[in-house]
Amino acid sequence: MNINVLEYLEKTAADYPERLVYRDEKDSITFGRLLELSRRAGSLLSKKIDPRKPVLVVAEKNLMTPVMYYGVLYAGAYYVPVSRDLPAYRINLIIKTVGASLMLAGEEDMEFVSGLDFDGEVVTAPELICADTDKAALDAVRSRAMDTDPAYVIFTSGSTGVPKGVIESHRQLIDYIEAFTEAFDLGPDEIYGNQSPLDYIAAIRDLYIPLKTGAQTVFIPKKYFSIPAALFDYINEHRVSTICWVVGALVLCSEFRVFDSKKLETVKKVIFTGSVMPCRHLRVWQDNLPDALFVNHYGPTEITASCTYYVVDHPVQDDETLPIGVPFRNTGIILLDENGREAEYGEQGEICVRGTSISLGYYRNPEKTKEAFIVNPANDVYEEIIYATGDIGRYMPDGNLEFLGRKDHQIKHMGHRVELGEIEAAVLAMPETGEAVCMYNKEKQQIWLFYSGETDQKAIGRHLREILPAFMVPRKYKKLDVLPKSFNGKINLTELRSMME
Amino acid sequence: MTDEKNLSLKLIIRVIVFLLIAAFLLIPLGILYIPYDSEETRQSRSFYEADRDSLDVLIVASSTVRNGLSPNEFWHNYGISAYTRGDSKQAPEIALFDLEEALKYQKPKLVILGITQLFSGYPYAKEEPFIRKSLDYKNFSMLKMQTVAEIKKMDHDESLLSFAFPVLRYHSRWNEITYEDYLEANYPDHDFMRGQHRVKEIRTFPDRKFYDPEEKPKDYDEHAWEEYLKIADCAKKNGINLLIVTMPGTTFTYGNHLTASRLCEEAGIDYFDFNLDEVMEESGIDYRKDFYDHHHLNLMGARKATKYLGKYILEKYDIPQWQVSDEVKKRLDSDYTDYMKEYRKYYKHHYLKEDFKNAGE
Repeated sequence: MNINVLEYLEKTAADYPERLVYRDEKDSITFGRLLELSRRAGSLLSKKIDPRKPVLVVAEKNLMTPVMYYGVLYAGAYYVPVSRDLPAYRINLIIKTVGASLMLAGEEDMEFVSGLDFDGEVVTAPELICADTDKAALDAVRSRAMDTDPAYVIFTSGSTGVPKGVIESHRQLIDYIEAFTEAFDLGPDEIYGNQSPLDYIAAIRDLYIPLKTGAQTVFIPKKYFSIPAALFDYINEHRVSTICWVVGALVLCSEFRVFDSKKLETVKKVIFTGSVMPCRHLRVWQDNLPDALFVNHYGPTEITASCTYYVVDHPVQDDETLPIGVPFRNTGIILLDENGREAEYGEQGEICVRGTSISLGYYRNPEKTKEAFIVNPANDVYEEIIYATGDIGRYMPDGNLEFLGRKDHQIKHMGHRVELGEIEAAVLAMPETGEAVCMYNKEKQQIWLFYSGETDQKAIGRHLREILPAFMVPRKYKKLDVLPKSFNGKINLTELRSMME
Repeated sequence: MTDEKNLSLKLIIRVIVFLLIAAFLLIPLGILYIPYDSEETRQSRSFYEADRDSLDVLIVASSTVRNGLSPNEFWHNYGISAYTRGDSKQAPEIALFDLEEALKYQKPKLVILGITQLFSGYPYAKEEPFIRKSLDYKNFSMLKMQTVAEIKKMDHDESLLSFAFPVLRYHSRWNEITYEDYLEANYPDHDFMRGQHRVKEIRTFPDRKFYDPEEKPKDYDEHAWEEYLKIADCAKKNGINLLIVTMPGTTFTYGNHLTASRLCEEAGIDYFDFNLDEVMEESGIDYRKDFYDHHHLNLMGARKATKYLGKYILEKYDIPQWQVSDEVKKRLDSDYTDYMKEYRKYYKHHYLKEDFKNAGE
């Protein structure tokens, strides 16, 4: 039984030492070399940090980032990635919350690091990989390792403005990787096209699945996601077979009509997550990749990236809403109604997740942890901790789970319960719409719609009046060239919220 | 160098002085040049004379509601102090202006709004004379200029400057202007109708059944829809109840009713439709004698409509009755007396004398 995620790397490196594991724009690295460099880094770090302590890592999309991550794990510690793309204010908040004594950074990041509010020691990547391997030290660390030890902390946005650090252990990560690879039959021949920044939860698939399966991940530079035509060339050039992307990245390609002039020659699996996939865009992808597998998967950071998936088994219609499907193996879903009781089959309730993949909680934030990681009220035998996602769902007659929107996306307006996601879906069904997000200004009691695309307020209003009840028609419309995105490619709701003021 | 600077400064001062003098002359001259319209001028100007914060109900509307509801009847029957700010062929932007401007002077509890333009795109360019009529007699303000700017978006030929300096629009009238124009523009009579437009003629139409389950919602103009929603927002922002009223009309269908209902539902406001069969029956409005034309009530019809609606709004909203100062009461009573004189004058020889008896006059 694996108790440490590095055991994947060790086994695969032993089986295929010369096989490429990661590739970035400039270079590539084999399993054997990755193992060696990670062990060197771990050897140095084991002298500077105690096991089960945090280490900040300035994570960039290059081959050194996984080396730094695995170096931290070899030292028995856990890594806390921060991206240079984050505002300095937010990075400093993370630094303050974590209270780490050690930070790892690339040599090119030193000037940036010197501008941060960090008083501890900074170790550069060259120092790490030039260190000697100390087998005895590494063995000593491993002999005390447990699968419940934290592996990393990923910070997500917090409603109070202070980011929340989600702590995940080796066990949760292993459980997730096992379930994910099994669900989609992912083997050694896959080549993953990484879209997500490496400090983001979605990156764990691109980083760790190859360690287990012997496959390869190509880190696609961020710049290509602004020029989709070049992105297609890059994917073809590197013979990418599987992409696990946020919805926004797929929409970008269909919106720019890249398929009109380019083909994706090697992609066979398209797995998407992060927000609701507009079927109009999915249809473009399906039309152009008729033999590919398309999977909608769902889940927040707190349950190790995702907990349910839906294999799209038919050509979708524009106005269709995709289910979020069924739970991964070893994960359970229960729906709790407003009274904390399990919702009847077919009724809506808050999606709560059971199982090993639930994270350890929020970093030094017992209050928020208690709010979200609750005792299952439906279990009167023992205290079972479940994660309340804050999302509303219901089971469909075919057994798939349907996502109905955020709990806080469900509002009371003019005496009616309104699901803002339903309005968004209706807007997205219009062929001229790019993206759409609805928000509620509680003070002014107005529904706002933020949208992009080649349509206008009058056309949207007319369309919505034909299909929605009057109280669901937004009162304020804001057309944007593109909806603002956060560093991980998701729509930046905080920025949109500020536009309502 | 210093001499050059002084020269430039002098030039700038001269230009400014010239512009000030020009403006000083053009503004009063412009008022004189605006074609005088006895009723529109009187109604526009009289509103400003009303005592501050003396109105509980404000009616903002195009001709159907403007003709069809009588502020004097609201007062006489229910003690409701009301006034109508309406115009013929009122553009929705002007309805919003009328409301926003009125709120500088009054704090009504209820605003009654007509939505005639909802069902057809307002022909801004064609109706330019009506837009002028609606705005020319109203006070100059930034709000007025903002309203013109909004209208200009719909009619690019509209001149913003000509609303500030009407002489630019009406300069060709120079040889028509008399001393009468000066007097009438500056000292219009008081409008005892309190904004209601009086139409006396009677036309007879066949009775009809309004409700039709087969009808689908009528199409609407998106721009007008948005403008009416802005009015709803304005009322909401100011904590005022807004009631949309559609007056009886032989061409108003159940499909129109469904669309208007939908607008009100979306805006979160109330809707009252006189055309509903039960309302027509209970109000006693008669297709044979209460209409001026297909969609306008005459004074008799307005009387019945106001009595019915007055009862309805008192039941639905918290509107004070008879609670005005002595001075305001005096003005309202006097207006009612003058209004009734006019009413009698119109109808005293008419064959429908029963109406006076029923009204206790």
